[in-house]
Amino acid sequence: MELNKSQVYITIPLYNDSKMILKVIKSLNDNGYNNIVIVDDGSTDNGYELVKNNTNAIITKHIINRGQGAALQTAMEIAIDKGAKYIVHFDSDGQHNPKDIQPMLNTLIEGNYDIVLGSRFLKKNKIPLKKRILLKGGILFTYLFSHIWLTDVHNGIRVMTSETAKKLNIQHDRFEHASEILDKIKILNLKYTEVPVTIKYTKYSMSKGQSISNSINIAYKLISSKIKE
Amino acid sequence: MVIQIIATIIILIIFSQLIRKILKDKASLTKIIFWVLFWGISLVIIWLPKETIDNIGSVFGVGRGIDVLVYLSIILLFYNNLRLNERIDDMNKKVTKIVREVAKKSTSS
Repeated sequence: MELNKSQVYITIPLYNDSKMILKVIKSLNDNGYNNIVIVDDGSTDNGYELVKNNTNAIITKHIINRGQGAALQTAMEIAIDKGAKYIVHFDSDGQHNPKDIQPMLNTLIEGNYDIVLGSRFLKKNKIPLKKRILLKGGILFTYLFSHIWLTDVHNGIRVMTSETAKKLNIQHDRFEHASEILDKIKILNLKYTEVPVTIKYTKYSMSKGQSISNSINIAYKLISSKIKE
Repeated sequence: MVIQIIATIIILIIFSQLIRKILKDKASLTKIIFWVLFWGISLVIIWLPKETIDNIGSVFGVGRGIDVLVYLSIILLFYNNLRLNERIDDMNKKVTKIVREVAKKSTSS
C-alpha cells in the first residue's frame, strides 16, 4: 500500500546521542520520511547544533533535562501542531530500523487500529540474555499492572494516529512513560496490535539501555502513581 | 533522666525554630498550631511519671508509653514523606510544563 508520507511525523527524543543522530535522520530520509521532529532533552553534547546545521529536521531543545517521556510528549505536541496524521515514536540511538515503519503504518491503516506497537520477540532478534530476562519480567509486570498481555514491552518504536497521540498525553516524564502508554491503551480501550520489528543491539545502544535498578525504580513510581489515583 | 534532658533540649530548639518562623511570617497558622501542639504534648509526655506513660501505652495496647510516641513519630514521618513526594511530583510537572512551552516556542520551522 502506498502511503502519503508527508502525513507521517517521526518523533525522536534526543539525549546525548550526537554520535548517532545524523545517521538516524539520514536513514529515515532515505526511506522517504522527511517530517522528523526532534526534541533535544537538555543534552550536554552538540547534538542539537549538529541537527540544526546539517539536516532539515524540525528541532527544539528542553532547556533542562526532563526525561524521555517529557521529550516525547513535547515532540508529539509539535507534530500535532504541524498537522501530523500519523505519529511514529523512534529512538535516537540507532537501534530501530526505519524499514519497520512502513509495515507498522500499513497495519495501523488497514486494520483501523489506534496504535501499533513494535515487538522484537515476534521476529528473530539477537537479544542479550540480561535484556531478555529484564523484558520478560516487564511483560509479566505489564500484565499484572495494566492487564494487557504483550509479547514485548518498553520497545520504543510505536505508530499511532494523531487522535491517539492526543488521548495518550504522557504524564510520566522519565522511562515510566513506556508503561504509562500501555496502561492508557487499556484504560482508553484503544485498538492495538503488535508488529515484528528489528532491534539492533550494539555496545553503544546497550550502554544507553535500562538497568535492573532502573526497572525497579520504574515499577515503584508506577505503583505509587496508581495508588495516588 | 539523661534521655529526658536531651529530648527536652531538642524540643526547645525546635520551638525556637518555630518562633523564628512565626516572626518571619513564613509558616501558616494551622501548621504552627499543629506543631506547637505536637511538640508541646511530646514535652509533657516526656516528663510524665513512668507509670502514667505506661498507663497511656496500655490504653493503645502497647506495653510501654514511650513506644506510643515512637510509633506515632514513624507514622508522622511516613505521612510527611508522602506529602513531600507529592509536592515534588507537582513541582516537577510544573517545571516540565514550563520547559515544554519554552521548547515549543523556539521550535525550528
